[in-house]
Amino acid sequence: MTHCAAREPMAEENRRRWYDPTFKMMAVKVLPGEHYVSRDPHEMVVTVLGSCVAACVWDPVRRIGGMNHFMLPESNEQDGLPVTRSRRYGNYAMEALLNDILRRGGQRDRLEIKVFGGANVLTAMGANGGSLAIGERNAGFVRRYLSEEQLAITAEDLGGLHPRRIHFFPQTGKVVRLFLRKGFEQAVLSRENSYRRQLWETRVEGEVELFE
Amino acid sequence: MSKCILAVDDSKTMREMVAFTLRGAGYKVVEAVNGVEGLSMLGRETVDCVITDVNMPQMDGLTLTRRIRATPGHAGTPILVLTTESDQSKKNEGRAAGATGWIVKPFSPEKLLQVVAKVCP
Repeated sequence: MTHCAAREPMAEENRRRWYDPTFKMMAVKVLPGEHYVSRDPHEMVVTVLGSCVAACVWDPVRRIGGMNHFMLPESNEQDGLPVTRSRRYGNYAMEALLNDILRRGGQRDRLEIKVFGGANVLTAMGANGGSLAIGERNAGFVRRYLSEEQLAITAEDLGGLHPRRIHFFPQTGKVVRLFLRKGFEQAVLSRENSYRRQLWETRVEGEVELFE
Repeated sequence: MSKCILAVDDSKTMREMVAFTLRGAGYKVVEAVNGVEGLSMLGRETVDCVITDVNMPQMDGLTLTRRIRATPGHAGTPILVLTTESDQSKKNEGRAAGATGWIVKPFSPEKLLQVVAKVCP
């Protein structure tokens, strides 16, 4: 048994869910490092992004959609190498969401993908010692990943300076993007910093089991 | 002669990471994008070990595992499943299909090499 960097799938009863009076439907929150897939017409998926990115993936025929929320872990490795800790983590974050949709009847060639986030609200030291914009790095990763996987981006709103709130409707594929008002940014920053520290400490590897 | 590993995954970036890791350790790597292509590759190349994803279009990794086991000469070929799936029920299904081992993504390059060396000495 080894440690798994990816969060264990969350027990459904622990998921943050509430009735949203503005949209008049149930809202389900996706936290950093998680993803959520739904085909419930009475549900919307919500997340708040600073430097993190989220992909909203939708199959228009099955009317099933899902959203992830992640950032790349920092590492001492140079970005662009084939097998880095960051690439393995980012790849996993995307694939876990895509697989969850495909397993429930989605089809890869039908998927509509919208990507958000990657604002430059956090900065860090890059591998070369220079300052590296975390948001830019996450946005670059998600664009590159989708292009390498030959998955087209239907819509994107990446970069900029301000955190975003994303509302995704898995029944229709529609996304509503709002910028957060001043004053709300600090909460996003502190949550992202704690996710970032946690990523720094976790091992990016799943468990291995050899059958007898 | 270096051992030949067949890497089956519909994700190009995943195949690239697996192939890069294995080639760096001296293995020969052949790639396939799904189970159907994996089976046909098995007929063309001398494959010593298979590493396969589960969720793939056309033929998934567990069907591929069963088909490989039914292929003459491959009853004992090591088959490692490399997947985002970590459910025990899915693992049991893999075991029943004839898989040798189960590796949950994201994979550690060091662990992957250790496991391949172990099942394919």
